[in-house]
Amino acid sequence: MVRVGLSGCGAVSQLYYGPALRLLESEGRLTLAGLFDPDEAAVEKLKALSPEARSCASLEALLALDLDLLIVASPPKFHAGQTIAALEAGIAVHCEKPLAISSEDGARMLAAARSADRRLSVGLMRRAFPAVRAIGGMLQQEITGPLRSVDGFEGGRFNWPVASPRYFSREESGGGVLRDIGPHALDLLTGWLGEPQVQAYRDDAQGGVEANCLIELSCGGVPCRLRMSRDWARPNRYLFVGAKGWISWTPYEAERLQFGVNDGPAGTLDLRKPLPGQPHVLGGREVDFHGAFAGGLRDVVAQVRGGAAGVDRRTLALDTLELIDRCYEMRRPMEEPWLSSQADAVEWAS
Amino acid sequence: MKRVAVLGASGFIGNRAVEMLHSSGAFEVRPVVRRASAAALPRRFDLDVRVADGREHEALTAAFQDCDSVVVSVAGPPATIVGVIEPIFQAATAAGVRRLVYLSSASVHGQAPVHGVDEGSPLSERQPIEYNNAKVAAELKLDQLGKSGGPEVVTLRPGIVFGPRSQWIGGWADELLSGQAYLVDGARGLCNAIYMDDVVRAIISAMEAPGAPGRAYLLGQTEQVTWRDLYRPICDALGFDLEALPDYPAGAARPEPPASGSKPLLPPALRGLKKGVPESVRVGVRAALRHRRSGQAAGSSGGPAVSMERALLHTADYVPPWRRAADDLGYRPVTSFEDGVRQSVAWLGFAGYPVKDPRR
Repeated sequence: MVRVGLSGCGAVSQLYYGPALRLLESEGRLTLAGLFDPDEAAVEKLKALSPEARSCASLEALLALDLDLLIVASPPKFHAGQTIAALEAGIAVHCEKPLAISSEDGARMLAAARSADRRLSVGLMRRAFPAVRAIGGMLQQEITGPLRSVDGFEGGRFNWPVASPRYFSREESGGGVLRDIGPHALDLLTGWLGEPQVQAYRDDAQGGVEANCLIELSCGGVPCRLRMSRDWARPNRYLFVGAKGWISWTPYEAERLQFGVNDGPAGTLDLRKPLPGQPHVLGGREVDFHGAFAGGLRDVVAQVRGGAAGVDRRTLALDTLELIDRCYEMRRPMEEPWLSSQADAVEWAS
Repeated sequence: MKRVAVLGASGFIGNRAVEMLHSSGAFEVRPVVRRASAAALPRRFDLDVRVADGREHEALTAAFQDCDSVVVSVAGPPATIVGVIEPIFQAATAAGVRRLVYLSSASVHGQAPVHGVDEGSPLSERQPIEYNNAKVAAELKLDQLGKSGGPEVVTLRPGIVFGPRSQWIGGWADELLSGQAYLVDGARGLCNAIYMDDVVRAIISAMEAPGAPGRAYLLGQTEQVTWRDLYRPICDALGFDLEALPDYPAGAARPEPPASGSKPLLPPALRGLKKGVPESVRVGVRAALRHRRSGQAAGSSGGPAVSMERALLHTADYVPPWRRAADDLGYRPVTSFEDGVRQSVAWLGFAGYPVKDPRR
């Protein structure tokens, strides 16, 4: 049985890792050996799910529990340090995204994994979604004809239960919405279309961290536009427009996407597995986001149990971290024309 | 430099107040939000954002410490609108705040006020819209609290505050795109519009005007416009024909449902999922439920249910004056209606709405 430790008992652990670990524990795949978080109340919430797990007063105490795998779900600024400490202790690590708050940190983590010959993975769980894989296949086979454009929007009004406003700082999180959602969005684009080239990046930070951003990229000559937001709800979707048709996918829909022929029929593709013994009858139980998340973690645990080591830049999406760094380097302000009248506000009032 | 706390800093008016006060360079702004997650917008600036629920005396007092003024722009269900007043006032008192500017609403006079109404008109707590009653109760509570000392209180009653991130812009765009938009009596009623920047300008004046404490001020704009005037540019920008939208008689309106906050939005089967479901999914679920409920309510017509609030708004034939604000606060609208609408449409493009030729 794989012995797992969890560092960081905040929102992502309470909402996703905790339930997934409990499920995999009930399947007999792992034992949650210990938990660490400086916030004791957060630890107690996780212990309610796994009463047998030991509360540890420090990361060192957690690493001393003879672990096979450490899940790092602490605030992003701790990812690199905690991951490297675990690897150096001979423990495989699964790190929540973003892997690190800079590409330099990411490179150090990769080097530590190679040096320790231990597995290191990152929580980019969407890669394994049937819908994501299907899009990759459809694009490769040019089902839509030659691709003309990609337009993605991710986000909405931010409601992630973070502990403090300090979360919204470069010091704590390495940036704003780009650092948060960008790893997913850019990793997906890379997986579908190859390494993108950033052509322009704009965001709305004005001394703090961005709540909105826009990246214009080129993927093999195809213009791509990624808009991310913590501000306002719009339909979350990726739209691929080709010469003959289009594909539309809503993130979080693991087994469903929409497909249409230009000026022709359109519909929803059901990507559930076929029924046993009936290869042409789809009807397996639909996997929701939580199910898909648990599935990804199940794969991680299986690979650790199988002794798999080895890690590479692509697996860790290190190129994506570099793209994000590059975006921040070339940052320009987003156009917000309605802000222009603010200068005269106090002049008039005084 | 005077320090100003903006309570409700993640809301649409509160956010704009933070932007304008901070960018002016004349104030040290302290945004206050209900939850840490709501700090995403104010933390675009390097500001000391505080977290305090409107009912938490200690957290509020700490957030108001060393502040000269507090701007109260708290949204929420009626119970929240009323329930936060005393804790906020007591916290401002404890923190030694000099002046409190309360964002009420012209709707204390009703969505379709009778002719001749102004700040001197009596307020009713028995209106058909619960929001109005809550705002009236909140104002009365502030009046009562202010009689025994504490900070000076100035109350502002803006009309239909529109601009980027307002429900009248983004919400209307959402209705159009989801096929739920409708008019009542052709939306020919007068719209008591005011662009958000003018509200913030009035807030700034209200923080200082010597004769303002203890008084309430209606706020509006110079131009007389109808709801059609507000809707049409948004329809045009998104490629919709205003004239083709469903148009219902005012008599089709139904009484207001129970106040939000007293009835869960999600059905029982989905309630347990709420915390673990991404916001984007919840937005979709809510839209689907609204669509379903609307369909049920409209019966054979299949159209949206006609709300009492909209029926009253779309049939209004009087806009209360804002003379008192002009006299006491020196208030005068700076942003024209046309400019305000143009800025609003520009924001729709920014926010990702499918605006024709948006400025990106």
